[in-house]
Amino acid sequence: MSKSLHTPLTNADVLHIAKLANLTLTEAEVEKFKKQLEDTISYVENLDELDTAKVEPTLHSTNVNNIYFEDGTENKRLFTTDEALKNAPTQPKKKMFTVKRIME
Amino acid sequence: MDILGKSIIQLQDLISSKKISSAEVYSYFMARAKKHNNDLNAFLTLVDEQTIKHDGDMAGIPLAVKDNFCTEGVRTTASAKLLEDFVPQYESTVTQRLYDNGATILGKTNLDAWAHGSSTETSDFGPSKNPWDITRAPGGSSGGTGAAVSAYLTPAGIGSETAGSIRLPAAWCGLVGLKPTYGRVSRFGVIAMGSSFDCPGPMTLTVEDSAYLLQLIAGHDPYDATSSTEAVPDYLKQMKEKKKFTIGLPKEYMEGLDADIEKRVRDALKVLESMGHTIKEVSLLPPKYSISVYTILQRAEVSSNLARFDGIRYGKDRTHFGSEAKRRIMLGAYTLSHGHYDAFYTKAQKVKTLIIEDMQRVFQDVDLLIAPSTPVTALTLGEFHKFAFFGETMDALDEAAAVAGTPAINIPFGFDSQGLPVGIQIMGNYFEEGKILDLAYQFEQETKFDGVIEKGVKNYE
Repeated sequence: MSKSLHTPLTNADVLHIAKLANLTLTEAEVEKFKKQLEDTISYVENLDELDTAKVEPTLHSTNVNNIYFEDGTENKRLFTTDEALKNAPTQPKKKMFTVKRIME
Repeated sequence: MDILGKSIIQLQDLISSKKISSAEVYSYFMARAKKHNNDLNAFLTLVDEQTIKHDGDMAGIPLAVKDNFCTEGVRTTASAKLLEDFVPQYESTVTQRLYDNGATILGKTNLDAWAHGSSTETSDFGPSKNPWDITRAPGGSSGGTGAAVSAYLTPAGIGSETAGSIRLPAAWCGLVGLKPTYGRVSRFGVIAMGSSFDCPGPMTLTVEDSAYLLQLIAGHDPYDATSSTEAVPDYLKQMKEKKKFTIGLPKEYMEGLDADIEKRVRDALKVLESMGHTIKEVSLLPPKYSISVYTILQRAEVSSNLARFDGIRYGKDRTHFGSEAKRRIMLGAYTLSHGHYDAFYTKAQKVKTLIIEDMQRVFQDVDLLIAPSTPVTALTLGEFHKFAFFGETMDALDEAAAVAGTPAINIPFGFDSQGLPVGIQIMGNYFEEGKILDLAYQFEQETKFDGVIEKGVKNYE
C-alpha cells in the first residue's frame, strides 16, 4: 500500500465512500474528511514496514469459534410487537417507523 | 456516620454489621451526585426514587455505569444525540449480574459519543470535568465513570474499554481501572464500538473492589458468542497470593513520556524490586504499529456497527451523527471497500497476529509487564486539538493489550509536578487477571499509591 496507490484522494473518492456509508456530507465536510482520511491512511501505511508475507490474519484474539444456538433453546430475548416498537418515533404516526417508499 | 472514601467491601461490612443501613448509603451517594454533578457533568442520567434491594452482597451499594450499557427502562444514549430518547427494552449482561447481586445503579455516566474518543469531549452532551482540576478532561471514553468515582459520587463504577477507555480515565482521575481479557466479561447489551476489542471492566478506589466487581461480572454468557467459556477463578483469593513475580519493562514504552511520568515508573520499579520482585528489561514491537492496527480494525468495525443506526430501528436517522462518528465511519468504509480490503483490513489482521506472537514471546520470560498508562497526565479541556492523532497518541501505550485482547490494570502512583495523578499499568497474559490483581494489591499495600486515592476523595469532602 504505497502512498502513490492510495493517496491523494479526490472529492469523488470521498463522496463515493460517503455513499457506501449512507452519509450525507456538506462540501466543507468533504474537504475536511478528505484531509483527515489522507492523514490517517498515510500514518497506517507504517504497517508496510513489517513483513507479513507468511503471517496468518487473526480474526479473534482468544480463538473462540463455532458457537451455535441450540435448537429448541427458549429465546428469552424475543420482544413483543409493543416492546419492539417502543423506541419508534411518535411522528408522523405513533408506533411506526416511517421509511421511504421502495416500490411505486 | 461519615463514610467518605469507603470502598465497596468496607461499605458492605458497615451495612452487614448494621452500623449504617443500605437506604442511608444510597441516599448519601445520591445527595453527593446531585450536589456535584452540575460541576462535573459525570452523570447524564441519575436514577432517582428507586427501590433499594435488601438481598445480595451488593444490596444498597450504588454504582455508576457508563451510558453505553443498555439498562431496561433507563435511557441509554452512548452520549450520542442520535440515541437521546432511546430507552432499552432489555438489560445488558453486566448490569443484570450487578442487579442480581443486589446492586443499585445510581446513574448512567457520560462518555465520548459512541465511545469514540479519549477525553469525553466528543460527547454530544458536553465534556465531563476532571475532579482534580475542573479545567481539565477526565480522560475517556469512560470519563464520566472516572469523574464520578474519583469525586466519590459513587463508591465504584463500570466502564468499557476498546483501547485505553478504562485505563486512561483511571490514570487521569487517579483510580484503579481494570481492562479484562477480551471475552472474559460479556459484551451483550453494550452499544458496540469495536466488537473484537470491547471489554467491560470495573473502575474503583481499591484493588480489592476491582477483584470483587470482576468476580461479579466475569464469565460466559450465551448471549455473547465471543464470551469465553474459560472457568472464572476466585479473584479475591488470587489477589492475596503474594507471589514474587518476574516483571518485564518494555523499553519501547518508556519513550516520549512526560519526565514526571517516567520518574514515577522508575520509582515504582524500585519499590517492586525492594519487595522482592525481579525486574527485567524486555523489548516489544513499537506502539506505533499497534496504533495502526487498532485504527484500521476499529474504524472498520465502527462503520459496520453504526450501520444499524439507519433511522428504522432507533428512530433518529444518520444526519444525527456527530463529526467524530462520521470521520470514523468514513475511514472504516474506505478500508473495507473494494480494492482496499486486503491492503488495509487483512494487513492489519496479520499484524495483529504479530502483536499477539510478540506478547506471547515476552510472557515466556516474564510473568507480567509494567509500563506507564499514558504519556502525559490530564490535559486541559480543548488542548486536544493540538494533537493530530489525539486519541491514538494518548492511548498509544494501551493499544497493544487492546489489539492482543490481553488484560491490564491502571493503578495510580503519586503525582506529577502539577499535582495531577500519574497512572501506571500492569499487563498480563490471557486470563491472568489474578496475577495482575495480586501484584497491584501488593503494590497498594506497600505504597497506598502514594496517597492518590485518599487525596482524591478529600478533594470532595
